Amino acid sequence: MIRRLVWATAVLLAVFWGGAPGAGAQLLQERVAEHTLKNGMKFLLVERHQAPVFSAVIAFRAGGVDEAAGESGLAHLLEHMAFKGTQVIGTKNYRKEKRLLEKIDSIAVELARLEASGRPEDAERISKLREQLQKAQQEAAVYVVPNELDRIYSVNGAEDLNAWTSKDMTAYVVSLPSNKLELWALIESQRMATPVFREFYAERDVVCEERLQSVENNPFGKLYEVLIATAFAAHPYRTPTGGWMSDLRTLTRPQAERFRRTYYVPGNAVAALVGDFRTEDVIPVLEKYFGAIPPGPPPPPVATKEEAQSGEKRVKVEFAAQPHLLIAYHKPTLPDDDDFVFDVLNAVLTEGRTSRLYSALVKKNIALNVSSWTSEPGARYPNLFLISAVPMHPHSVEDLEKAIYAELEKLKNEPVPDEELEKAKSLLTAEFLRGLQTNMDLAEKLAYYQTVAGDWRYILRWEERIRKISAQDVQRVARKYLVERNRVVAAVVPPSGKEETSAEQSAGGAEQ
Amino acid sequence: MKAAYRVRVCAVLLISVALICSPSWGSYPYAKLRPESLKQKPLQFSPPEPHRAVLPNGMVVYVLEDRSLPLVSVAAYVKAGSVYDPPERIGLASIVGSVMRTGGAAGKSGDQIDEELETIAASVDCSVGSEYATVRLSTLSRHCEKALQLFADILTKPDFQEDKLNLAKQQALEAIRRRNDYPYNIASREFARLVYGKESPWAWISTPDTIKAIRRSDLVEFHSKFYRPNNTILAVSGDFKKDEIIQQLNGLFASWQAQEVVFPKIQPVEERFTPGLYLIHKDVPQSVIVMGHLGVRRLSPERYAIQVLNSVLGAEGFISRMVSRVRTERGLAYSVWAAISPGADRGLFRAVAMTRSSNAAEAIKLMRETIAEMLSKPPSDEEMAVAKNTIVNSFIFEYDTPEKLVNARAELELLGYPPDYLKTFPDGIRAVTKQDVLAAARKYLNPDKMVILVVGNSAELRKQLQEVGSVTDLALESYEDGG
Repeated sequence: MIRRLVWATAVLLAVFWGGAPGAGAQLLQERVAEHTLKNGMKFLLVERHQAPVFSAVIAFRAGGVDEAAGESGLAHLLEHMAFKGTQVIGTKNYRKEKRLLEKIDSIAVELARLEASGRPEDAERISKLREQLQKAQQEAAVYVVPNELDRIYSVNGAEDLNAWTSKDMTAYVVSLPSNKLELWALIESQRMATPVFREFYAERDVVCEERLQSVENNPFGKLYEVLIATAFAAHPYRTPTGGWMSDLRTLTRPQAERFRRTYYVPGNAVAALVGDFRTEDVIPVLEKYFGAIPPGPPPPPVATKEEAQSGEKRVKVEFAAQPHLLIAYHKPTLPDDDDFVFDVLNAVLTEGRTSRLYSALVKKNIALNVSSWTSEPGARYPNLFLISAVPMHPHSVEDLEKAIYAELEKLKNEPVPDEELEKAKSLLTAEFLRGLQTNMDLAEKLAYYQTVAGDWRYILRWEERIRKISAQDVQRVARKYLVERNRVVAAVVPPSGKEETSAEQSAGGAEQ
Repeated sequence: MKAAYRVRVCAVLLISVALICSPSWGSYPYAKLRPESLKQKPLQFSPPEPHRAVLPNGMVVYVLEDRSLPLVSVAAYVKAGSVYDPPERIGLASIVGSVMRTGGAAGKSGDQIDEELETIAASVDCSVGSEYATVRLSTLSRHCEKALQLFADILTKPDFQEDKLNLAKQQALEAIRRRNDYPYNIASREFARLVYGKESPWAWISTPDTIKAIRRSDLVEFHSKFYRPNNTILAVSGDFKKDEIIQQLNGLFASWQAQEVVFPKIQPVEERFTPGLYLIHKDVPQSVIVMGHLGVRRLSPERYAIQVLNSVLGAEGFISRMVSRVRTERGLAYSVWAAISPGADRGLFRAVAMTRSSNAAEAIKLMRETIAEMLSKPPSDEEMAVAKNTIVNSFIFEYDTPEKLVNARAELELLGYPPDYLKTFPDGIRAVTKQDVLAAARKYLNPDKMVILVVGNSAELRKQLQEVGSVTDLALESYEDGG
């Protein structure tokens, strides 16, 4: 059940993207064919004839960062809605259904407004609207063929059918037998051009459950959310991709439609296809289906910029779980020179069992595990270098913090020895190569860099840039960014009012 | 033209502007085209057949070349899982796996091996499950020889340094201390213990005592007993020449001697659990529901029918009844699924959902009804077609890369599946009738005799759960202060 979970696993993705290219660059250079349609939609095609299958990724440069105030979670909810079908998929009679969907909207919009204002005198009206909403949804349900889009893909042999949303972008992914390429083009172009967001308000509940599962029930999810919200004061990176619960509960279908029309335009989309096809056969199919989608104006840019942090920020997260520490430093994003240096610095610190933090913390019995990422929570805008560590009892998060700072000081005070630097770079490049193994890995990588860096060739240049990074670069960057003023620290700590549990349990016992 | 788009989208300024800018754009012409109307060429594919070799010491090796990237992958599957733990040293198999990797081999210290592996950007990792351990190597093909040597040393000549054993034990204790952090982990673990019984090797868990009891001599003995070539299957794929790599493996593993493996007797699983509604308190807003009972043996004659049944009842891919009802129609959960999972002995039947505490009773009732319905009538023709096509048409992804293929073959052989299992699988699925599914449901599902376990905030849950049935509270064993 990976589908639509990614906004909560942003950290894992960053591991994947945080690594990068090497000998793979050459392999790619000649093999990626580019094709741009008149409406602006871009395609990246790589033939691989190992087995009669292909993987496809469609990415929109539209993520949490593009949401308006009060609409947090909208990009992610829209991603869910994109599975609800089109004017012919998922419906028994779209004409009749459409009228009911509009009726539902008018009720839901008023309801959302009244619920958000929270005035006691509206209580009666609210409960009446809720009844009406439920009734109208039941009427509309008569015309719905539930999950039909999924079903069509499934019976045609789809694998990895999924989608994910991050702060930066939204991606729709699937692998199929190679004789299904036209089927893919039809379904995907149809849901770009004429999607229908039916069952919107039930899906909104599903997304609320997703938030509970990935954040409220999940100590790491909660810790990550709090850290990010603390680190950014102005920039929309501060808002969780999953949305704040109070926003989520009031999102409406017209809002999702508006977001789609603004951001899901062909010029803001890139598709990567990797697998068993012939490029010259595929291009006419892409022209036919995707070329028929009307263009739209470029989406508005994000204007807000984060101010330089004026002092260390520290925050605690009380949770019924064992301690966990996150330390973050603000840093620039790609294609800034220093961003490349962070890739190497990151590898020196945590890539492999001989890395510095692994040796100093895990091998020394201070931490159960330690890892770090270079681009949280995204890479379109200046972001964070993030270290995560879990203390070993009886060590405290404070012990852990001290041990980590000691290692960071070493980076500032002494240049990394050549041999160690080379090892870090070769681990990075090998990791990149492994990330090209499957069709899906490669398709995601191409779509990601085209979307976030503006050009997939970023991958090709990456290795050369990494090769040139010196021990002095690492030292300079460590001195510049890994400083207290620029730091954010968050930790899971035990709840202060320990165990309200026992009170309830004795009450429960008495009831029985 | 203008009139047309004004009618459609006049309220949306942005789109109108776009259309004015490029007046040649009409509306998308395929809005009414159904996907079934597309013609599809039939797919011809016979997957490559991995080479199966048996080395003189009895080790089975599956080999398949893959020259697409300069990488080599090797995995050793060894029947040395946690079900073979001595009861007073639960956790031993897992610690053997971990210290094999960290504790040095063939006279080199663990740290030296780390250094040598990472200098060539290779990685070796061990993981240990209930039935078998897996040791995996990934390396650039240009360093294959060196990496294979280190891999073989780790697998066959581990030194189990005392200091690394102590570290692994500390880590195991820390993991125990943290085992109640995530409500899903609690639910999944405690459900198995309720159904199998706490003493069953299929559900048992380590405690600080069983970890502290482990000595270096236990590791040496366990390794010598189970890590034998005749108890290991190797899966090798990547950028090499088949004959050369086999010759190389022959040389590397020549001194690893076969020895008959006497597996400890594992008590057969008995149906002894007490059905009912169980509650574990954890202060979180969303509760985890796991309901079910014992499942089936891996090679049961109904295995194809069961696979179709799983797809109709509870597959996660949005084609199942469970997902349609609990998630799509009612919006009660993001994660919901159900499956009869096969095991070496009886596996488990589980239906799982996570829902906010105020919806727990409703979700339980709906899930129970959905299971019960499988017994009352066969699936519809459409459900059968969807389930069977989904399974058969996506089957190609089981072997679309050489690495997947050799690993699947190695794992299947280790678990006792017949050699033609992959080949005959699609026909097995095609032959399933809806009466077969009904019969399997009636034989293997028992919605009236399930363990229903809920992990969540007991204050919010208790009242509504009492509507579902009488609630038995379970206390979690806590080891927060131990270790």
